[in-house]
Amino acid sequence: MEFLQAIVLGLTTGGVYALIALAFSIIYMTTRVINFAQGEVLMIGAYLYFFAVSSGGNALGLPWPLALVIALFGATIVGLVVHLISIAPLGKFDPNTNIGWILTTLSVSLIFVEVVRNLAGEQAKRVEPVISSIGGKSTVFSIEPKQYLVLVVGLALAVVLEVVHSKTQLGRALRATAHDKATASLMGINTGFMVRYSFALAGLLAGVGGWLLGPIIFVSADMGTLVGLTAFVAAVVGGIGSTRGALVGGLTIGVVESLAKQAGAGEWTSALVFLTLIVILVVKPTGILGEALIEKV
Amino acid sequence: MLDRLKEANRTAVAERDRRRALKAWTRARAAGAPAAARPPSVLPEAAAEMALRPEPRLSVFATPGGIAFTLLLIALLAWPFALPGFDPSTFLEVQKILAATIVVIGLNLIAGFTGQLSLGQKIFVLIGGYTVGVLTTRFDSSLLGNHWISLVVAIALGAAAGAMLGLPALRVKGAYLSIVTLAFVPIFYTLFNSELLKPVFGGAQGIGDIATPIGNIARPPNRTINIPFTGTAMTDVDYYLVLVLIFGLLFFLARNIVKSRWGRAMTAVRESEIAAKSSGVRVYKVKVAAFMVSAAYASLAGALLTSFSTAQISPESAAAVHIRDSFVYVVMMIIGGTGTLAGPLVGAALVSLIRLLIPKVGEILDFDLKRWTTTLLAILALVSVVAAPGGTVGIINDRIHRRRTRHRYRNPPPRPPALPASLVRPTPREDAATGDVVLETREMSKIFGGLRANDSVSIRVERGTVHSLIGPNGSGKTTFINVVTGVYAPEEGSVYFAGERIDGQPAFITVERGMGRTFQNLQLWRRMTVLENVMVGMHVRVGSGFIGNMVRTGRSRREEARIKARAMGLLQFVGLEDVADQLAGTLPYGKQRYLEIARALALDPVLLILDEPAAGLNPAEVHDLMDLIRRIQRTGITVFLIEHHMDLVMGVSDRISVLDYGSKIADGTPAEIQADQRVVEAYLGAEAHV
Repeated sequence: MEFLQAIVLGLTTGGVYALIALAFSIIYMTTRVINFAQGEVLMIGAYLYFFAVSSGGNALGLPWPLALVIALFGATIVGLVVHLISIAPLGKFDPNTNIGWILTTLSVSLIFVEVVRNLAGEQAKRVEPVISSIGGKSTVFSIEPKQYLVLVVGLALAVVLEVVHSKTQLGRALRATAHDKATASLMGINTGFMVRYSFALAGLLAGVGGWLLGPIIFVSADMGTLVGLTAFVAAVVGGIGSTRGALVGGLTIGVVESLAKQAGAGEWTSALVFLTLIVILVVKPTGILGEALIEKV
Repeated sequence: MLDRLKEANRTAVAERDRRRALKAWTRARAAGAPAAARPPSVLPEAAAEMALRPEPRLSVFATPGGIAFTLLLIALLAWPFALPGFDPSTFLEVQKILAATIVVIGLNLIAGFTGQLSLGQKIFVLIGGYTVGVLTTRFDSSLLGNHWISLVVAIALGAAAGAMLGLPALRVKGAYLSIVTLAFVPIFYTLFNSELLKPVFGGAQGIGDIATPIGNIARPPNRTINIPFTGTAMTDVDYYLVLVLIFGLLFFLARNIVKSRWGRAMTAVRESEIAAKSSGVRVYKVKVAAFMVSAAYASLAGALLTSFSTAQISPESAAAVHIRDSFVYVVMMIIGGTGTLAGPLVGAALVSLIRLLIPKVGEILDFDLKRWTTTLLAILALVSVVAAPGGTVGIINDRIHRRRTRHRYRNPPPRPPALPASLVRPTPREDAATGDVVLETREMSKIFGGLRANDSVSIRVERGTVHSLIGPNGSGKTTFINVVTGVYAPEEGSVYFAGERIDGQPAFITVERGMGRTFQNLQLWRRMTVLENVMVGMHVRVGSGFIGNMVRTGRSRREEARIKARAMGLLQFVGLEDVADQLAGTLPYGKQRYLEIARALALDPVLLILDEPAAGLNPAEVHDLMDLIRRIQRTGITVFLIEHHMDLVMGVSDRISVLDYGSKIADGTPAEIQADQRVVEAYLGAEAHV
């Protein structure tokens, strides 16, 4: 019973990892870079929601749907800003031989953390969940509704994106850009736009992640760093660059983490999660659903 | 002294004679006399002897950089005694800067020169600190507790931890080293913080009373550091002098690696992994070795830092993630100059200075600037990466380089001495020379999904011939080369090279057995010089090891001289000796193709595979290329040519094989191929209508 409960709890937490892994994958598809500031975009989204929804001080005290819209809009803009200051100035570059992008995205992530810490303070902020009961019960299966919300929203978003990207012209353009940027641009696809779109979409997903995670782990300047790293592990485990892989990887990592906690790993939980990354790199570097890259010479 | 004078005289005489001979040769040629293709070489023995002489062991100290560095060391050593500005707090800061510089020198080896960014150097700094902590306090009655022994253990443990993280992370191409190191920073904090391991690491309180020099911390230390083999305890100034010497030694060793066979292999890996593999560089091994060294540097720095600064170590704070700590080292590397030798020195000094100045500026502005330190450093890093990727030293180097180029353009240097044939002439290696068939595929098939890119292809390439493979676009020619060179493993059939079965073997095995290749899309190491490109090509022909390169053993210096002379000779063979010291990426297209050929010849190939060498060349250049291929063939090297340019193919080939839709449709002499109806239909017919 406890085992089953740990799995369900893991799946619900995995929803956030899946969202952020999806964000990593989409950016990776169009640019072949990993956005080290992705977790910080989530953190900023969570702060925006907190300031919009809380009352007192200089907070706005808005109803939550409105606050959510503000947070998502803000996170999308922040996603674009990350591209504007860390990727766009590098011009055309080969991510394999030029490590500049690691440095710029990492710098941006540090700047975000430090600025937020200095402006909003060290104190972690508490955010009320938007639903606190399902059918009058405050927990189902000993798990709180805010946890289920993570899984439901995460899955729904992943499905919507999958449909949008497989059925629409936008999705075809995105996949064409991912497959071969040069040819895609010869076919009249604005690949520059596709890159910006991927950063904006990743920002939006991170915003949703921040909104979902805020009530669960509190809002603080450091909240995004560990989530970002864990979600990156999820993206690699699932197969980076694959949207379905992001979902599978996110849920897998959520369950691994939850089982480790239940088994009494305590402070070693995240160590176990990162060991999963090592195992995957040794056993199947392309991830569970990733395609093997054929090296062109 | 007398020997030197004699030597100089002999060189001058040789040079004069050579110039005279050159003049005579030029006149004869202008007058229309039949002349050799190259100017004559006068006294080739003298030239060869000079070229092959190894650099003296300590000659590096006579270069401008060497002199500057020696002066810096002397200043650092003299400072506590003679120079002003000596006070305890500055003293400590200088030592901290030296320790940070050591970390950055190591980081630069893996990130700057090998192109794999580690974001977790702080892990190794902690490992070093904990090693001296645990050993000198918990084992202080045994030999292990000796401070100097614990430093050695710290180096070994640092390297071991580097291997542990690097072995999985560096298997795959991409940014995985950054991710894995980033992910392991919190894990190591957890490890050192752990309640479970408290008896060893002391939990959150850490370890105190670590052996430290006298005079370092206010009260007399409980454990002192003794001068080896004596019972005399060291003072802080003694220890500082040792620190400066260790710093000097570590810089010197890093410099030796960078300027050696291993260092060039590292840069080659950074610039193009695929080309490095095709020159026989074991990419994975090079990356792991570089990372282990960088980890050992950081670990030693951490051990020294702990010993001289606070004599205690703890996982500073309980916060989960400490990216900032490692990030400072990365910022130092960027600001100083990523991938330059002096960069870490300049960067560590500059960034340390900035960090010290920030609070002072804050006081003047009456604003708490100190809490914005990390933000300011991150902004600095961001701006530097975008605006000046080469950092401070990179900017200066560019200036110098530009001035030198301008100077050279105005005053062209004399031609380099013509080298003797033994250095210039390509030679197929002897050890692989068995049988008359160099390369053979037997019913080889390579399948991608449902597509048979090569369908049961059997081709025999005979020794000493020029054998061409032609076929329309998409007929499977490049796939064929990739199978033969070991990039892909075939699904069916087999591949034999020099009598041995090689299919499924990694690329470096085929290279080590004498298969050289060029690439259709040029794969040069663009930010290395022309000469260095060819020198890396000889990677498998010499065998000096990492440690040997590091300490410049006699063997490694002799080898270095030989590599350099031979590379220069091969450049002369293809006609690029005038541009030897230019960056490969700055050469015009045609010369880049020739450089690839010289690089492939450098491994003394039995078989040379040329993948569309005439692509993009003008008719005159194609004519030269034809001549070059014939000259290569005359040396006994077998040439396998993939080409669309029919004049070239028909002009140089002894045999031609034709592929169409993955299958071989014809095989024969140029005349037979031209008469073959199927070939005409599949290929030449279509061409003829154009």
